[in-house]
Amino acid sequence: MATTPLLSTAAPGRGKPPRRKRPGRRAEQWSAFGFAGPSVVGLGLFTLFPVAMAVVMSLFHWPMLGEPSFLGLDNFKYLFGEDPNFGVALRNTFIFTGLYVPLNVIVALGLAFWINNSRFAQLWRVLFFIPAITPMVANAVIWKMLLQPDGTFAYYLESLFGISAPNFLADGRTALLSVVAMSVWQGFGYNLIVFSAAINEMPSNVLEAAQLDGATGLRKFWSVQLPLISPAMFFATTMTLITSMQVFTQPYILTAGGPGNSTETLVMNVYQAGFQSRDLGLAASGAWILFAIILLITALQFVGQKKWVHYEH
Amino acid sequence: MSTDAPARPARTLKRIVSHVLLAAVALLFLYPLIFAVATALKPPGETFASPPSLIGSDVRWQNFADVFTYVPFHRYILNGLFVAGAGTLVVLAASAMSAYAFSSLRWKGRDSLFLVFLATLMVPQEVLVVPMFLLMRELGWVDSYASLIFPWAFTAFGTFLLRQFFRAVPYELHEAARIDGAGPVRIFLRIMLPIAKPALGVLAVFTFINFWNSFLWPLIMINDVSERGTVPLGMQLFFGQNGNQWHLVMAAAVVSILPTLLLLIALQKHLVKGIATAGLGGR
Amino acid sequence: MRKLRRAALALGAVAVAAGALTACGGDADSAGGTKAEDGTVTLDWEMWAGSEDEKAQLDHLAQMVTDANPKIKVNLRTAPFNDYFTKLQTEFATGEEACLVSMQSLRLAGYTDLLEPLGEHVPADGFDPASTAALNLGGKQLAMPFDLASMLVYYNKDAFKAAGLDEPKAGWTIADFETAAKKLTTGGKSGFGMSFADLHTLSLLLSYNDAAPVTDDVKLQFDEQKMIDAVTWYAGLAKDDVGSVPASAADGGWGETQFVNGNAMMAVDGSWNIGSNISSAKFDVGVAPLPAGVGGSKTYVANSGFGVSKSCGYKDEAYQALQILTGPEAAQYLTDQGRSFPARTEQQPAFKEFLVAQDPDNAEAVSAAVDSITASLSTGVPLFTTKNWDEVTKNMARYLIEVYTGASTPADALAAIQQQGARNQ
Repeated sequence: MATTPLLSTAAPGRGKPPRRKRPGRRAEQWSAFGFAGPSVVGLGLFTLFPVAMAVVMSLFHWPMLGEPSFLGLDNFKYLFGEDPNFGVALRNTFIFTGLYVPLNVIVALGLAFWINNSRFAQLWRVLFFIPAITPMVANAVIWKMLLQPDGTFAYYLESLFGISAPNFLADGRTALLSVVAMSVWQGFGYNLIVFSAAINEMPSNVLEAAQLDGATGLRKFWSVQLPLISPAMFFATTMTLITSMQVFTQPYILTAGGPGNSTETLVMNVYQAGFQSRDLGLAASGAWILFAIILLITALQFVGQKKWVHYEH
Repeated sequence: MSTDAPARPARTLKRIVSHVLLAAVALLFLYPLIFAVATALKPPGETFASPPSLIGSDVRWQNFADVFTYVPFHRYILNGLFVAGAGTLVVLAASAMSAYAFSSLRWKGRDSLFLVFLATLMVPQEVLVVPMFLLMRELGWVDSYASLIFPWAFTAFGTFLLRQFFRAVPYELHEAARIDGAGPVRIFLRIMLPIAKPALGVLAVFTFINFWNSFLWPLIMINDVSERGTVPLGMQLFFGQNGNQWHLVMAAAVVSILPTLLLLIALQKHLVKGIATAGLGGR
Repeated sequence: MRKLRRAALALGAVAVAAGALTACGGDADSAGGTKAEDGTVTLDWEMWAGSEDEKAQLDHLAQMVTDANPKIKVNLRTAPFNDYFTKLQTEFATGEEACLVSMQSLRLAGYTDLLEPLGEHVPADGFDPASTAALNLGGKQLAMPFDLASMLVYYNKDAFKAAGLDEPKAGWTIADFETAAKKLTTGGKSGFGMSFADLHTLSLLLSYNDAAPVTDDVKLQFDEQKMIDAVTWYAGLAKDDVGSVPASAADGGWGETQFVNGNAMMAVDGSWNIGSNISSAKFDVGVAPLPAGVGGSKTYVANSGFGVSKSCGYKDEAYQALQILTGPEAAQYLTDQGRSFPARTEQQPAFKEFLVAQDPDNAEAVSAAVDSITASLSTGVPLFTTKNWDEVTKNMARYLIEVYTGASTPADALAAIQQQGARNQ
């Protein structure tokens, strides 16, 4: 079973009807409209239309109350020029992504290899997956309590390592790191399962051949196993990158963006601009920048994959 | 993989050590959740004991009851179940129908429209949130269940996933059914849907969880939280006016984690398969 | 065939459910209320509420309106206080606002164009003048008050005794306060629970050196020198853990929570929490006016009340409902429930009786506490704020905490609050 059907548009072609005339073509056209209709209308109304609206709105001063007025590119100028928070939010989002994605992938990959030798692989997989599907708000609240100044983390840091703990979520040096730590704990379960499945499907003949060639330990991992699961790695990093650019709930609950603006992320900035400062045009502009960045990163990933992703043919 | 038969003692020892270590890592990893359950059972005032201890002077099940009297938590759970349930139904119905149209029926514009569908997969929810708010305002849907269900119920992802399944159906099966006089509706319901059952199940579970856990959109949409709030919104209430009562906050967290945890335990095989094969899930 | 029918039924059910939901979502007939065939008007009432108990109290008030006017019903809608004003904005923006809108004096400025001036429609007899003044902006009475609040220092009597300190009395000074805070800081407990919330923080700054964040003509002046001096002093309390610094910018009620949990021996909190603080703390709670600085003891006075939205389609009914909701009987009911210090002078003594009844062993101290509310109200000043106050308070949380941890200077933080706040004020 392939691990990456999502990214390959080539589906098994057996179901494709051969091109030949048959009765009832017009009837088929109509029933196709009936079947595709709800999705087409729904997607048009709830996705395509808002996307187009977002473009329009980003060019307007669009207050939540009152009449919109045309601004041209002033919203974007404001975001990149005067806005004291947007640049920082952009930077924070990149730092978050830069820490979160590698940590997530490394932890998931390491554990995936580890548990695969275990007879209880399924049990471990499910255990590590628990926080990934429990409500983010609940997870964040639990961590918030652990990270209190007199909380459990501070206590053990002090009693076990003799380090006097900072006020994790109030200190600009540790607030964003705490958000990253909580997010990795919460999120790596997904990639663990993706990797775990890919490892299970490594063709045994290739592994045996490597064994005969005397490849062991790190070399076996680096030059045999890793290439074999590189499609899964590609899929996992791409998806994790995209979602980590959209981080909102964790900092919203843990730090409310503070101290200062050290944990304000792009989506928080959009939320604040739109629904607290009530400037919908500005919010739409911020959202568009986020979208553009996500598109760019994804495109770079796809271009870069040729260098390190090995698909079997 | 490792099925090496020779049970050398060193090997066995290594395996035991590995398992013990793994168990320790898992325990450490699950510590926050264990901590939450433990704190939820503590009497108030003992939540920040130093040194931290998991067990308080008394096991207070009352805390869980208090969660439900302190705020209408049962209401949030019912709202969450309703929104997630209805949302999942709509997603399944719309995705299956359009997947069928895109895989098995021939019509003009099919392939180019499908490309448009694929393109929408790239759009993150956050980009849509602001204009969607205006749309909800125009429709008069602000602060309604409908606003929680419909905007996110027409994802191209479900269509895409199910289309893969439908395409695997041999053409001869269609032809045979057609010769028997079956129309597209009947073929869809009697041949296609049963075939796609496993995929529908997996899609259903993940859709449900995504609806259940959703936070940003309900936060924007729902004004009357005590009436139409979902569980993540209700969780927020505990940070409200009366100070952070951590024993209650943890009890509420445990309550809100429970449904998804039960779902995970009951459907673990399907969930794992869904992620491994289809990349499902929100991350 | 049976299967087919079943599946079709299921799809149909989805469609019907969808339609039904749409119908109940789009209740667009009239702003803020509905009128039934028999002439009964149902008014929507938007209010914040945290717990079910609070909601039950409000439902009781709503019922009082119907009891007095059988043709008027009140439909309560609630959101938690932290989200309430964000939600209210959304509602006004979508035309979904209720007829009856609950309003806090600090947020009034954002709603001057959205609330109907009550003028002669609702008589103001029997209210404490301070309470109506706080909800009066530019000569327009935009809401009628149900309570009246000042800020107080809550202190842990047991801790004061253990430390051999005299309990604070009226007239105690900033110096007394600091001495006490330092002496009470022992064994991992802090002398004072710090805050970044508007009333809690700004009142103490006001008492310290008359620092005011807003000018008389309601413009922000966070970066003004007195504010810098006052914040420098306040942040200095964090030194040596004398002041317990909030755990994050998301921890709104830090000081008072630490106090009630016994981790901080003093905290500034509103008089509205006097009942709940006394009952939930496991030690004896004392209450004193804010310590006196250069200009004597000062506090901001704030309160909440109910107004009528301009778009309301049933204004006459709304005025009638308002008179019940803020009337003597409702005030008596809320006071008997110990909700907060009533805005109506006639009910004010009952509040003291309620609190004394709660804690009869401690009658003397409790009644002294209430007296200090009354005393502080007489010297209290209303805090008028800009219309983007919600945004300002969020920035106060983020930037003041940086000052407390020493990551930023008072001048920089206040400049940031000022700069971002001035744009939309």
